[in-house]
Amino acid sequence: MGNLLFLFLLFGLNKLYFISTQLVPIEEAEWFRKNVLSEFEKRNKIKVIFLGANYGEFQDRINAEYKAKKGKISLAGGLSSDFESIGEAFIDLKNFLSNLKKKKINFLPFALKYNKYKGKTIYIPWLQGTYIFVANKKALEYLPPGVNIDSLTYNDLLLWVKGIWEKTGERKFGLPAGPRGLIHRFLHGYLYPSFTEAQIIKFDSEDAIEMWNYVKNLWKYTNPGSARWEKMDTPLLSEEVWIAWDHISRIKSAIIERPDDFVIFSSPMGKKGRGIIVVLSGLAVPETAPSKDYAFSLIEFLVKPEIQREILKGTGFLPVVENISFEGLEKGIKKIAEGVKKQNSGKNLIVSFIPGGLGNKQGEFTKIYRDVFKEIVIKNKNPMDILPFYKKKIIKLFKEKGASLPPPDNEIK
Amino acid sequence: MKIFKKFAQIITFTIISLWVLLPVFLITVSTFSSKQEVYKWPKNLLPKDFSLESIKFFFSSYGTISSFKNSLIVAFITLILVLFISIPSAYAFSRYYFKGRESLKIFILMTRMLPIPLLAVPLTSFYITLSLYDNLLGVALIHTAMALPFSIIILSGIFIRISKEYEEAAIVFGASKLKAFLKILLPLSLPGIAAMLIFTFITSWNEVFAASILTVENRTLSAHILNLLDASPLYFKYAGGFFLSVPAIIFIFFIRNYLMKMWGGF
Repeated sequence: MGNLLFLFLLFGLNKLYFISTQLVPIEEAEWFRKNVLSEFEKRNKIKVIFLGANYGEFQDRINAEYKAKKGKISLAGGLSSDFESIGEAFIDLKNFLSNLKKKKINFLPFALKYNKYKGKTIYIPWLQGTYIFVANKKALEYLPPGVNIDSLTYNDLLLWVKGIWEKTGERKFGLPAGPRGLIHRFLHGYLYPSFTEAQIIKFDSEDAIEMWNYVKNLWKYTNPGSARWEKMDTPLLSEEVWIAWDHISRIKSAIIERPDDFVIFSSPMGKKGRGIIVVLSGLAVPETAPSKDYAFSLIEFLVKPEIQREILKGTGFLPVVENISFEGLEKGIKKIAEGVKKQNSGKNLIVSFIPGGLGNKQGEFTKIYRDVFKEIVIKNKNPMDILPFYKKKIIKLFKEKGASLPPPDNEIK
Repeated sequence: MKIFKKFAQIITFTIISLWVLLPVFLITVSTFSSKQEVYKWPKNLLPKDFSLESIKFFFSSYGTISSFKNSLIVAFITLILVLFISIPSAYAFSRYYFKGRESLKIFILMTRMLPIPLLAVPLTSFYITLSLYDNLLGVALIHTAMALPFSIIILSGIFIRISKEYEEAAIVFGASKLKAFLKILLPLSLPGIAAMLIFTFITSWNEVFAASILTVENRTLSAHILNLLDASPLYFKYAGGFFLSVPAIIFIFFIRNYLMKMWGGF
C-alpha cells in the first residue's frame, strides 16, 4: 500500500532527466536506479529518469538542446573528456563547488584539476575508474621462480606468459585489441610511462623503441583472439585467457561472478616506473536544464561519502571523495577496491591522465597509438621507421588544439 | 549431368540457408540457455540446460517492455502513414505524365542521400522547436520519410505492370475513377503492397539512429538495445538479438504467406 501511495505521488510529480555516458551497462544502470536514485526520489519527491547514452549521442543531444535553447536534460554525467568539446553548453558551477566544500565534502585533489572550460567550472567530480591486471589462479603456478606477483616487472610478465606457452602450448595472455577494445590506453598510459616516463614527449626515444620491441615479443605469447576482443571479462570467464588487462568496468564481471578464481595484481613496472591511468568522470548542468535546483541537490546527494561508498559497492566505480572504508563490500568488489588501492600505493607510480582539451580530435590521439601498434606489432615493421612520423603527428595534434600535455608529460622539464 | 546439377543446387541452397539460419539459430539457443552456459566455449549446438533466465532478465530490465511497445506503435503508425502517402503518389507516377515527373522521382530518392548522423543535431533542434522531441509520432514521421522513397518506387513499378485497360474497362461500365482503383487496381497489386509493407516494417523496426537521438524517454526497442549493447553481459545481448529479430521474422512469414498466395509462389 505504501509503495502504491508512493508511486501515485511520484506520478503527479516532476521529472528530472539525467543523461550519462557512465553507468550505462544494464546491470549497473539498473542497480543505480534502484539503490541510489530511488533514495533521492523519496527524499526530494521527484522522479529521476536516468538515461544511458554513448558518447556521440550524449554530445549530439546536449548540443541540439543548447542550439534549440530549450531542453529536457537537467543533469549530464560523463568523462572529463566528454564535456570538453561542448563546454559552452554547461553552466558555471564555481559557487556551487565552494558551497560543497563548505559542507565538508572533500574531493581528492587530482579530481579538481581538470574541470575548467574557458574559466568556467563545468563539472563536479563524480566517479573514478582505472584499469587492472587480472590473473586466473591457475596461472600462478607458472610464475617465474622467486617473483612476487605484485612487484612484477614487464620483463617478468613476459617470462610468465612465455612460460605458460612453453608448458601448456597455449597463449593464455590477452589484451582488448579488438576494434572497440581499449588497447590504446594500455599503450599510452601503461607501457609508455613505464618505459619512457612520458605518454607523448618521449614518443620516438630510444626507450620507446625498446618498449615497442618488448610489445612485439609479448604479442608472440598473446592469445590471437586479442585482435577481436573488445572487453576481457568474457575470455577470462571462458578461460580462453588466464591473464588479462582491461578497464575495471569491462573486466569486473569476471571477478564478481567468480571472485575465488581470480587475483588482481598491480601493474608491472618498467625501467622508469609503474605507469597507470586514472579516469575521472563528473556531473554537469546544461544551460537549458529545466530543473536546475533539483540537479544541484542530486549532485550534492551523489558526492556524499556514504553514497560514494554505495556506488563503489554496487558498481565498482571508485570514490572521488576522501575517507571511505571498504569493509562489508561484496567479495569481488572488495577485491577490486583493494587491488586498486594496493596498486595506487605501490612504489614508483607514474600516474597518467587521458588527455583532455583535444575535443573532437580525441579520437585521433587514440588512433595514433593504435596505428603505430598495427604498423610495428601486427605488420612487424621496425619501430625506428615508424615512430618519428607519428611523433610529428601527435605533437601537431596538441599544437593545433592548443591543448596542454596531460600528466605525467606536463611535469617533465 | 542432371544429377550433378541437382547436387550443386542442393549444396548451394544448403550453404545459403546455413549462412542465414545459423546465426539466428545460435542466438536462439543462447537465449534459452542459462547464464553460465552462454560463456562456455566451445558452444553447444543444442541448449544443454534449458533456461528462461536471460529472457526474464531482459524483460525485467528498465525500459525493455515499454520500448517493445513503442517499437510496435511506431512501426504501426509508420505503416499507416506510408500506406496512405505512397499509394496515391505511386499511382500518380505510374498513370500520369506531368511536368517534372522524372526530376521529382529523382528528388524523392535524393532524400536518402543524406546520412542521418549528419542531420542529428539540426534535426533534433528542429524537433524540439516543433515539440516533436521524445514523441512517438515524431519517430514515426522520420521513419515514414525514410521508407517512403523506396515504397513509392516499388509500388509505382507494380502499378505500371498492371495494364491500364482493366481500369478503363471498369470506367466504361460506369465505375468512377476511385471505384476502378479500389476494385481493380488495388486487389491486383496487393502482393506488391505486401512487399512494400515488409520493407517499411523492417525499416522502422530496425532503425536505430533517428530513434535514439530524437527520443529521451520514449525509446524504441532497437534504440534501447543499441544503447545498452556496448557494455551489457553476453546473455542480455543474445536475448536482445532474439527479440529484435523474431517479430520481424514473424511479420515476414505472415505477409510472405499472403505474397505467395497471390502470386502463386515460386
